[in-house]
Amino acid sequence: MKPIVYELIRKDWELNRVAVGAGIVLGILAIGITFFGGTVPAVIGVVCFYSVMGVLGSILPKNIYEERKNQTMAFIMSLPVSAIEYTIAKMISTIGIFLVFWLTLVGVAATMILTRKEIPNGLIPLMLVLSSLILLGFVLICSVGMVKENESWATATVILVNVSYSLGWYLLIRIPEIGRDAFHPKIVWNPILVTTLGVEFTLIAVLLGLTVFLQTRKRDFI
Amino acid sequence: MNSASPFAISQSDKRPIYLQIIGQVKRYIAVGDWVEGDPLPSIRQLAADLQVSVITVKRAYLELEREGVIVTHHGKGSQVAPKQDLAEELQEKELVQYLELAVRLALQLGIDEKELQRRLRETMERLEERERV
Amino acid sequence: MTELAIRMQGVCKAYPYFALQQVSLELPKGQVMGLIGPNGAGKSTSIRIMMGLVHQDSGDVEVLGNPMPAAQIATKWETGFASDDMRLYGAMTLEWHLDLMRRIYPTWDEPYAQQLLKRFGLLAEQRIKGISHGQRVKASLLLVLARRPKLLILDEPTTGLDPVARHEILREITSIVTDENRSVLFSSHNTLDIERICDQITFIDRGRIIDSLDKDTYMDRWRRLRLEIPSGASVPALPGVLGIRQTGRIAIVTVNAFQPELPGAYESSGARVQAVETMTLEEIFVANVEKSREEVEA
Repeated sequence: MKPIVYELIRKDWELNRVAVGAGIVLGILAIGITFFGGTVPAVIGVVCFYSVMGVLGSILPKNIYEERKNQTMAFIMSLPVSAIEYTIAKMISTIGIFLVFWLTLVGVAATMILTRKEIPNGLIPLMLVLSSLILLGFVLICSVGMVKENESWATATVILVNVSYSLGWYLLIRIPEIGRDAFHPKIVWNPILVTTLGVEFTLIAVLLGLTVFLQTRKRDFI
Repeated sequence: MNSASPFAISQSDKRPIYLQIIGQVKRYIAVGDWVEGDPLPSIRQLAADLQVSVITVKRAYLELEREGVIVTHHGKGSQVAPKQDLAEELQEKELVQYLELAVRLALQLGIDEKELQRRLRETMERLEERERV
Repeated sequence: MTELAIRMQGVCKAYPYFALQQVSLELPKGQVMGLIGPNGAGKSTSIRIMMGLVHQDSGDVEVLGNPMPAAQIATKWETGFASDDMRLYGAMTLEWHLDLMRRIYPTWDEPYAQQLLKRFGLLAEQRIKGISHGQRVKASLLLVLARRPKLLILDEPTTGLDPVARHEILREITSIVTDENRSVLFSSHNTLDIERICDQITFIDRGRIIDSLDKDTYMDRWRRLRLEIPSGASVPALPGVLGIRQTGRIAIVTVNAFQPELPGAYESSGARVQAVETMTLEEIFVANVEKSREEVEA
């Protein structure tokens, strides 16, 4: 990786230090609530868990479209970096920061599910499918923000994505194979679950590729 | 020769900057501060010291060379021209300039030759008086 | 053949309400070029095209020998850019920005950076959002100057600065070209500064280059003649004249293509030439723009 790309990624991480720290702490607290108590705390915990991710998913893309809004775009593009390198650095840093949360929360949640006997391990595949949907939504917001560089477009996408989560989850859970083994004590994979995950990650890859491609065709950075 | 850059450009001086530079070089030679062979500051360094464009200093140096006041050797910079009586020559030129100016002003004021000569004598006596005291 | 730091040839760029048309200019190495023109003339657009921040629709652009925007990275390694509408990261300190520059650029001159910090009166520990406009401009310039770039492209570097700060910036700009391999291009409304420190002057208005010449040739072309016309007569039309203002028997003629024979030509046609004056860059600027406005209204 070229040094300049590394520096740009590092720059974004340094700019988001506070958000990263706060997000992790809150997320872990949310998971904690889920697993200490009865059904009500469990539901509250789950809702908080996905809310934290959702909030982060809405805040982080600001890194992308605010370069132009805050007029720092000229400063960055006057550095020895090309459009592609800038795009890649930006996507890596923004999605990377989100992934830190996402992996932390998913990891902690999975650990708790696996280590606590009263929680059926069958929940894990379902949790992964639903969490990956959030990741997909985030990547979509970032892609739109990157290509359009426009706060209105990004905000519209954020709203659209957030509203679609409920619909998405509802539709997914209605597929019998998705939720069938959720309360099974052991993890049960089936072709539909695997395919769903596969589709989600394929879409993520397609979005990233499309974003880089569209960026290379851009002619004006100010 | 003084090594510190004695040049100064005045913003209120209406004359073009290159003329001011030329004037100052001639002044230093005329009063004997700079003598033949003394090096002039490099064009670019002088431009930076005075915060003026290089093209302006170049023009001044070119003009000075044309008048035979300085010589420029490619790669070695410019020096005061090795002319015997350069100082006197410059002072002579200056005197001619002032005399012409005085005559022009006198004509504008309506002062005739006799009156001008009277004033000239008066001025010389006054200055001699000051020297004595 | 003089090497060129910047070469633009027939550059065009169209926007909904504005277009650069056939913009051509050349900056030889080791020189300072001043880009002047009214607001909205196309100075910033031209500068952004030089930096590859905006791609031209047509025309050649070469900066330090690199075709733009194709070889923009090579250009950006050796070119320092700062513009009036550029911002640094408000939440971070100046030291953070300095550190970023140190890590990216191998040509970074730390002693010089420290010197500039002192001279500009800046505190590295301060957050960018807490500093004044003038200090922010100086900070942006510092970040660019301490890299000792071969070419410096500045969009209105002294706008909004107090006289001391302006003086400091001009000092740094003129000291750059003591090295004949380094060059500077800057746009400014301060005609006094441009007149004083620029070797080349480019005048742009409404997206077109009006003139692009070395300063001496440019300024030598312009004169203001004060004429006394015999009563009842009008000023004879002679070539090279931009505009004439006549009140009664006195006429003021603005000339933008002065020839030494011109005063004589007026004398032979009956007018008495009272004075032949050179014009300051500001007066030339105003004359140019007024003329161009007249032409649009006509």
